[in-house]
Amino acid sequence: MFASLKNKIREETGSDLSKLTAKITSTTVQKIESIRGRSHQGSTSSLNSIVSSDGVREDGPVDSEEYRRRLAKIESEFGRKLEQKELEWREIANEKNRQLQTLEKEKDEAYRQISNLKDSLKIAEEFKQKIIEHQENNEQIGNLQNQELSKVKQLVLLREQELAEKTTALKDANIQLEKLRNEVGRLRRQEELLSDVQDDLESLRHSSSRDLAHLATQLAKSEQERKYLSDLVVILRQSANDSSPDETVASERRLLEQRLEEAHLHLADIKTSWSDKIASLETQVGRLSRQAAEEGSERRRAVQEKDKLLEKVKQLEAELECNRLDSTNKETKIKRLTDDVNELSAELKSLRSDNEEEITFLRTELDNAKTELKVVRKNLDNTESELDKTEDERSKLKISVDSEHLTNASLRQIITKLEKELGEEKSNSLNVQKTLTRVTSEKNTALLRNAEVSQQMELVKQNMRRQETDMNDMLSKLAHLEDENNKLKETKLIEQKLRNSIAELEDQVLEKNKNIKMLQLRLADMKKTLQQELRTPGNPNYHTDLMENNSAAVLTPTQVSTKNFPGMARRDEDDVNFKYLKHVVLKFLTSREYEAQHLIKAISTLLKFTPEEERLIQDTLDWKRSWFGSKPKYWGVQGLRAQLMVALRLRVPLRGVG
Amino acid sequence: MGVLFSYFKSLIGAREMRILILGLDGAGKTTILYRLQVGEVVTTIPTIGFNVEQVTYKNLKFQVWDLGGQTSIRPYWRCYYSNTDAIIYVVDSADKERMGISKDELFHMLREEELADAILVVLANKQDIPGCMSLKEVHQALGLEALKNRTFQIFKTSATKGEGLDMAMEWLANALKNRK
Repeated sequence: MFASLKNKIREETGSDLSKLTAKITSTTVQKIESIRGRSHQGSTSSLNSIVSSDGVREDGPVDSEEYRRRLAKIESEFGRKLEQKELEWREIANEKNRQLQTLEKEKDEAYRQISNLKDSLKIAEEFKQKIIEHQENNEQIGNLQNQELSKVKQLVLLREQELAEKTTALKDANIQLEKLRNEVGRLRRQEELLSDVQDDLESLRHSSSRDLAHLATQLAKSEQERKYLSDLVVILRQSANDSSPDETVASERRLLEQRLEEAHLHLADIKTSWSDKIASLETQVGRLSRQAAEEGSERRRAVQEKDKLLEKVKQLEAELECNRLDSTNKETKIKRLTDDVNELSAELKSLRSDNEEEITFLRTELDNAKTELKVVRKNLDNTESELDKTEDERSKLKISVDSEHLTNASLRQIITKLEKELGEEKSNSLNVQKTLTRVTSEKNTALLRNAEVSQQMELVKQNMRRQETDMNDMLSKLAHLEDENNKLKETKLIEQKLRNSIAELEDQVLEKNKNIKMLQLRLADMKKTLQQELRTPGNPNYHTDLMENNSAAVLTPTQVSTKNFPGMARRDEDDVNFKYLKHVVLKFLTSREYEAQHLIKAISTLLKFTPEEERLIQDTLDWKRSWFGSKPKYWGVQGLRAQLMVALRLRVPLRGVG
Repeated sequence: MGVLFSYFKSLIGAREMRILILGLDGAGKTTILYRLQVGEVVTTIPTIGFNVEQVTYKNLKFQVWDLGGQTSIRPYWRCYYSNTDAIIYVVDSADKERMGISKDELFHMLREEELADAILVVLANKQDIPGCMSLKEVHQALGLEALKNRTFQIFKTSATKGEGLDMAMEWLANALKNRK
């Protein structure tokens, strides 16, 4: 096979043979070496024969067939051996793979168990946390309940203190009440005494009044007696006077007089005794009355106090009632609160017991979980150790598999090398065919291009002809246009010339305008200077120019000279001034005296009169208005008047028209 | 003589009030004068010189002097200032450009010694023209707030329509009566 190939190559390319042979020898040597390295079955003789065959090949083609046969045999043998080895190795590799798979499965299971155990651990920890939370909650509740209880107790204590205070207040009030009652009793006794004393006083008054009445009756009797006796004495005296004075009568009279005197004395005694008695009684009565008043006042005070005390007693009783009510209320409250406290403590206890139960339950659960966890961990450890063992085994197996693989790979490499050689040969033949086809195709394309180029040449020639005709047309047009252009240029030149002449003319006009302006300005200046000269104080009467040619008529001394400016343009202002003057003078002459008086100043200002002249006009007006007096004299009056009149006569019609 | 004259004058009646109508040219002084005198609008030409008329208003006799207001004859105003009882200063409300000149002329006039006691009436005339300055604006433009120690009043008038003149004359008559 190789030889035929080599022959082919030699036929086609003579130079590549040595290289190819060299390649083949090297590859074959390598192959043989590799085979020898792997299998010790290959004989050295066969090898030598192969080596020699390379050298002897050129000697004769007869030996090559034998070699070929041997090579084929050897190749077939090697192929068979390789297949057997491969099969064996594949079986071993499959077994190893199966073992590996089983080990991996076990490992996965172990991992699964570990994850399950971890989950259970997590659950147990969550349970633990929950227990802790429960305990915390319980403690918080217990604290809150204790706080509430202490608050309630404090409230109860406060209430008790208040109660104690109230009871002490009550006691004090009771004591005061008793005191007041005692006082009331004492005062009642005093009242009785008072009433007795009043009764005595009444009785004493009655007795004294009776005595007084009695004494009064006695007095009346005694006075009657005295009257009677005095009457008797009178009668007796009369009788004694009438009758002759008797001794008996005299004695009788004496007796009677004595009696009378006695009676008088007696009466006086009685009177004195009564008066004493009355006085004593009166003093007694006064004393009693004073006593009575004092007692009455005392009694009133006592009554008032009593009332007050009674009120107080009522108030205190009311307070007592209130306090009692309060105390009862508070007691009930306390009872309620104590009940609440008891209930709460009971609840607390129950809650605590519940919580403790829960806690114990959870703890037991936790313990269980922990034990489970331990067991699981142990299992885990066992499985892990197993896993390690299996992994070791696996690694060992892997190493062996790798070595097998390596051998396999080397064998494969040999095969691939052989295949590559074959491929190269094929590619060489393909290259040769390709070059042949390429050359033929290039030849075809070259022919085609030649045809195209000739066609294009013809087209280009046609275009050339057309363009030439166009060019001729264009040239004719261009000539025409150039003619036109020349004409236009000529016209433009003419226009330019005209424009230049216009600009020159305009410049001339501007210069002339400037000159005119300058002249006008000069004229205005001249006018101004002339006006100023006319109005200078040296020429106070600047209206002299009104008189122009009539200098002979001017008589005033103020007018120094007359000036004549013929041909001078009078300005509007002057015109206005003149009109004004005319109007004012006209008015002055035609107006009433009263109005004229006011116009003097205006006229004198306009005509620049001196103060003297102004006064003269004033005086003249006054003279005109009055019925008496002489005309005021002024040496220049006539002249002034004449001047005015002349001015008006001459200028008014002149200017009035103008 | 003078005594006699004054005696006769007192017999005839009260002295006529001397009133000057002043203002820039074209303000309407002459129109106002004749409106006051005859109560009609007369066609006027620019006054070069003056017009003087007697006007009777509420038993008061006024001798009203209307002096020309052109620039060149404005300096002659001062010739008429003596014995003046009142000044009627007429302003063209529509002439905004010359309001400043009008103000200057007014204050220049009021500085005169002879017019120290004169009553001032300012008439913002031509109020019938559209777009004219209002009374307040005229007051401000003339700087009347600066006037002290002077009896004065401002009125808006229209001489051609005869508006506001009666009010101004009434005020002036009262002011002159009160001053006596």
